[in-house]
This record gives sequence, C-alpha cells and structure tokens, in this order.
Amino acid sequence: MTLAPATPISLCDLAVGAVARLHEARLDPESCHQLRSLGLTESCHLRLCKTGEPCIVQVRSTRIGIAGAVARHIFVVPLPVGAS
Amino acid sequence: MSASSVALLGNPNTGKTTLFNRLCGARAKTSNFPGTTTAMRVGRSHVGAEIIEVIDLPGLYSLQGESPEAAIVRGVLRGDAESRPGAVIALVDASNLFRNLILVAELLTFDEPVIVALNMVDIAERTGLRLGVPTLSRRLGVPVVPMVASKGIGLDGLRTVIGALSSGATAQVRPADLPAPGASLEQFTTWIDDVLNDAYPGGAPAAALDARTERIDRVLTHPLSGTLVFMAAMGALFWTLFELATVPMDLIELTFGYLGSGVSALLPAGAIRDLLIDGVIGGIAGTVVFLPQICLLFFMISLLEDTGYLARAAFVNDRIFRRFGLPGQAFVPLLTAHACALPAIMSTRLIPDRRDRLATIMVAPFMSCSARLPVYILLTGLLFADRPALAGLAFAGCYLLGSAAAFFSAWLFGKTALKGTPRPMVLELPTYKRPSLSNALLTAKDQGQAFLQTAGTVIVAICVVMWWLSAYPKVGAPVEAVELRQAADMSAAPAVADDLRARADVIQAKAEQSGSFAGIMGRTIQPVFQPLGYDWQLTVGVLTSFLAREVFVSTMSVIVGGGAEAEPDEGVRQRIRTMTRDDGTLVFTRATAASALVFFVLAMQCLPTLAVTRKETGKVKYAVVQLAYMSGLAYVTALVVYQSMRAAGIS
Ligand SMILES: Nc1nc2c(ncn2[C@@H]2O[C@H](COP(=O)(O)OP(=O)(O)O)[C@@H](O)[C@H]2O)c(=O)[nH]1
Ligand SMILES: [Mg+2]
Repeated sequence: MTLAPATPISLCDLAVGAVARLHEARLDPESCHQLRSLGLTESCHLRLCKTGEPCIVQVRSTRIGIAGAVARHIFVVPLPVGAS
Repeated sequence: MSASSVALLGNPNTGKTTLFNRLCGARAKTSNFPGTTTAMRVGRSHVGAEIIEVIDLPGLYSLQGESPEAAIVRGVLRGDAESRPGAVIALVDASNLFRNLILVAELLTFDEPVIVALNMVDIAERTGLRLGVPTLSRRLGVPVVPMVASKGIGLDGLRTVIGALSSGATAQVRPADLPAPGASLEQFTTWIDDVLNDAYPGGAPAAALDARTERIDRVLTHPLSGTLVFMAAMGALFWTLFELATVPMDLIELTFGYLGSGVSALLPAGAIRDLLIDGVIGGIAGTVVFLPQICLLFFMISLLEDTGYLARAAFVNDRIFRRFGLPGQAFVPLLTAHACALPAIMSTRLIPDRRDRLATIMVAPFMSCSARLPVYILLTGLLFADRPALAGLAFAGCYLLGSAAAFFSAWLFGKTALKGTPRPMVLELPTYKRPSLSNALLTAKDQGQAFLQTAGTVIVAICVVMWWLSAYPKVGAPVEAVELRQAADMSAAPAVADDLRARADVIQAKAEQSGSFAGIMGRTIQPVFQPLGYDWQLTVGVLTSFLAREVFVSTMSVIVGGGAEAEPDEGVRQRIRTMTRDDGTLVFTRATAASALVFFVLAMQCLPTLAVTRKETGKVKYAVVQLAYMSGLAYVTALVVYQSMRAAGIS
C-alpha cells in the first residue's frame, strides 16, 4: 500500500529520519500551546529522530521529547526526501 | 520606573542561573513569588558605582498561554511602576537562536527596556554559526551583548550596557515591523525568520543535526540501556542521601550533644536548663539535622539538571507513573522520600505542572523514610520474635505497603480532589553540557538557607512544644523511687548503691512519662485506639511519635523502664515484648504488633513534614488534608488488620 504524499499520518507512523510538515495536533488547547511555544508551530518542518518512548523530533535546532500518548495525536505530512 | 532593578528572562537551559550567579555571587535569596509556589531568586550586583537588584524570572518559552509561569512574568512586566524592573535582560542561547528569539519578540511588545544577552556563543562558534551582532541589534532595536556566562566572558560588556540604560539615556524605539501585541506565535515566527535571514551573513543556516547529542540520546532513551543508566544515576542519588548524608548528620548530632552538655555544666539544674537543653537546643538540632540531606539532594539535582540528563530521565518512568496520575519527574521526590520526606517535598520543584506537583507532595510521605527504620526493626521483631526470616519479610512488606499506598493515593487524588487530565510529557531535550560545580554549590546553599528561614523556625517551635508536652507537668518522685534512693544512701557498698539509684531513676522516668501532658493525653485518647488493640502505653508511644517517628522506640523504652536510648539493648527489647496491660495481659500480641506496624507505615507522624508541605504548597489546607488523609488511612488499615487477625484467631 502506498500513501499519497499529502495524506497526514500520525507522528508515530513516520519513519525514523524522515522529514515532515506539521499538519495538526489533536490535543487540548493547553498542550497545543505548549507544542507551539516549543517551536512546533503551524506547518513547521520537523525531523523524526527517534520513535518509541519518548519519541524525539527536531524542529530547527530544538530537540523535543514527546511521550507516545501525545505523539499519537500529532499529524504530519511526510515530505519527499531531500526537502528540509 | 526604577532603574535600580533588572529582571532575567529566558527559555529554560539558556544559562539564566549561571548568569545570575555570575552577577550576584552568593548574595542571593530564594523565596516564592508572592502567592505562588514558583521559586524566585533575588540578588544584588555592582554596576559601576551603583548596586542594582537582579530578579531571576522563571524560565519559559512563551509569554502567552495559561501556564502559571507566563502569568507571573506578565504580572511582573505589567506591574505598577514601583515594582516593575527598570530593564529586562533577555537571555538567549546563540546555538538555538531562532526559538529563543520568539520569546524576545514577545517581550518587545511590552514597554520595558530590553537588553539581549547572547549567551553560549562558544557553542554557536563551535558549530560554525556566524552572526552579525550589530545587524541583529539594529533589527531588534535593542542592545545585543555576546557572552559566555559559564566563563564570565562578556559580563563587563553587559554591566556597561545596564549602566547606560539605568543612567536614563535614550528611550528604546521598537522596530516598525514588529508584530502587534497579542500576535500569534506564527506571526512572531515569520518576523524572526526575516530578522535572522538578515543577521546571518548569507542567510539563516539550515538546522544542523547534532551528531553527538543524537548518539548519546540513542543510549539514554533506549528502553534497556536508558533504564540501566537511570537506575545507576538514581542509585548514586540514593546512596548520597542514605549513606553519605549520615556523616554530616552524625556530626551535627554530636556537636549539639556537646553543646547540650556544655550548657548543662554551666547552668544549675531546673526548668530553665531543661528548656534550653532539651527544648531549644534539641529543637534546633532536630531542624539542622535535615540540612545535609536537603543540600546534598539539591547539589545532585543541579548537576543532573545542568547536564541535560534530567529531561531524558523524566521520560523513563512517565508511562508507568501517568497511570497513577503522577508525572515522570516524580521519581526523584519519591525516591528521596525513602530517605526523608522533607527534601523530597522540596524537590518537587522539578515538576512543572502544578497539579502534578501537588499530587506528588501529597503522597511522597507514604514512602518509608529512614526515621521509620528503627520502628520497623522493633515492631517486626515483636511480630515474629522467634522467626527472623518472617520478620525480614514483614520488614520488606512495610516498604512495599508504603509505596503501594503512595501510588494508590495518587490515583485516588487524580480521580477526586486533584482532577484534571494528566498531561503526558512534552519536554525540550537540551544539548548535553558539562555541569557547573559552582551553580550546584550555590543551589545547595540557597535551598538550605531557604529551608532554615521558612520551615526551620516552625520546626524549632514544634520541637519545643512537643518537648514541653512530654516533660510537663513535673510529677514528684514516686514513693518507690524515694525509698530506693534512701536505701542507696544507707548502703555501704557503692556498687549496690549505684544500682539502687539507677532503678530509682528508671521508676521516676516512667512516672514522669505517664504524668506528663503526653501521658495524660495518651490515657484520654486511648479509647480511640482501643479498636486497634492499643493500650494507653502504646497510645502514648504513638502520640509522642508525632514529633518524629523514631521517638517511638525511646518512648517505649522509657515506659518499660529502660533508658531513653534510640537503640535499646536485648534486655529492653525483651521487656517491651513482655510488657503488660493494666489487666495483666501482653501489650504486644501478634495482632497488636501487626496493627501498630501498619499504622506506622501509613500514618502522617511527622510535624516537620507538614510544615514543609504548608510552605511548598502555600496553603495550610494541604498540610491538614495530608495529615487527615494519611492518618485516617493508617487508622482504617490498622483497624482492618487487627480485627481480621483477631477474627482469624491470631492474637
Ligand atoms: N558552553 C556553555 N555552557 C553554558 C554557558 N552558560 C551556561 N552554560 C551551561 O548550561 C547549563 C544550563 O545552565 P543554567 O544556568 O542552569 O540554565 P538555566 O536553566 O537557564 O538556569 C549549565 O550546565 C551551564 O554550565 C555558556 O555560555 N557556554
Ligand atoms: Mg536554572
């Protein structure tokens, strides 16, 4: 099965090392604000460094550890290899 | 506008504490922001000929949002003219400039003069980032001072700029293209992107991957190796608190012991001497003795935090702890509570979320602290006098019961009083850095000082009152003791006379014990403890333990006519085992011993802990709830244990 490039997938399903664009976080407003203030703003580009507990993403120079329970509700659109 | 104070603002891990310590040295005080549980440090620093006040604001990522930290900082920035700082030093991490500048952009929408302290330029240069500082300064419309706080580089430049600002030179003009107050984070992001494209010659660099951090993270957050490292780190922490801390603690006890005997030799016997030695000196000793564990704990935490490891460690337990409504960071307090609940409760400052923090404070004292140890030894020995293996099992069972009660209660609080969705963890993982020894030493000093100033006085007062309750009213020497002493005076053999006098002292001590307010209270309250199987003597023991649990052992020892030693010898233990109720039956049947043991595991019998809970939560209410809940749970559980053992025919 191949995914159309524009289909948002859960952060948990992203491949390690892949770069993606943030689509949305289906979380309570307080958690959303926390993510945004850490740099996970609308449509930002992020790179998945590690899956599991915690899942680690890098946004620009910031590394963020995210509990699996949160990562599941964050949806991203994978970008083609080579994009940053 | 008072130019004589500046506030430090910045993201967490940007070197705020380091810069603060460089500016103020050891002349700082830790307290809480008025009406909150957020720690505030205030210090003084020389700027030219002037002395200015420096306030360390809580580290945060954004001035918007509902978090208590953001509210506090907004309050300070919007405060009335008197309390408002004359300038804000915005500390930014040059190696992670983009994210750090978002906060600066938000700050620029306020009126305060701003100085940007561009910290960690050493790290930024190592990764090859070259920044046009004058351009950045021009685009932001504020002075930008490059520095390396950990080495003290750039400090003079910062002082000069502060001096120029406070001498009231020109007012700062905000950039025309700065987003309006209340703009979204996305708007600030766009603006900062534009600023940085300008400030970095050749455009903003693409975010580089830090290979070293990546490699270390792979090990430290790995399910297996991460857990192993975590256990090693926590083992070291535990050893420090349990073993290393006993050295200074013994020294403190020894010193105050000498002090007591010194004063005792100077003063005539009487009420004043007793008050000074047993009340005041004893009370101060009982407070100061907590210092080594508090200082050592904060020393270790500061080191762990500075390296960046603590953020990783928080994730190790988060998944399990969340099920009980506790955050992953609760591990340090809960582990520490096995040594002592006081430093444990103070260390809940590591927990950012207020609800999470309260839950941890409420349940931490359930963990079996070292003061319960002598009580466990005594009571498990009474429970299984003839079967040491079973006594050992019961001993381990006490620790398990304590932890189980803590997690159960956290879960219960989460479902009831402390409702709220437990938010799983999202944390910045800072790059790994070498910890700063001087930061750690200053943190330890500050926390020790804060403990003595706020909780310390209350604890001394509690100790004096509890001493008074157990020493007064004075009863005359019982007839039996008087007769023994007369016999001793007439005895020709000195050995016999000494023996008689010793026996007289024992009888008098027991009479004083039962005639004191504590003794009277024990008799009065005994019916309450009747269903748990306690007679008045055991009730007195339980009551006096509210000063400190280990007092139980010496109280029981005095009741059976031993000395007031913390470690009774076999003879005294035998006497406690065979001590009788007023009707002649044994006090410590198996059911009573089990019920007392359970009571000691669960009850809140430590007034100093309550003093610290009150201080850390800012409300008496929480201390009262803690006392009522823990003691209530202890009572009910002990009741169930006693009555079901009786029903099962075990007595
Ligand atoms: N390399 C480097 N490390 C620094 C600098 N300033 C602070 N640090 C280190 O960064 C870590 C975090 O500093 P700290 O002052 O606790 O940051 P805070 O969380 O903002 O209070 C500590 O290990 C410091 O020693 C700096 O300019 N250069
Ligand atoms: Mg700090």
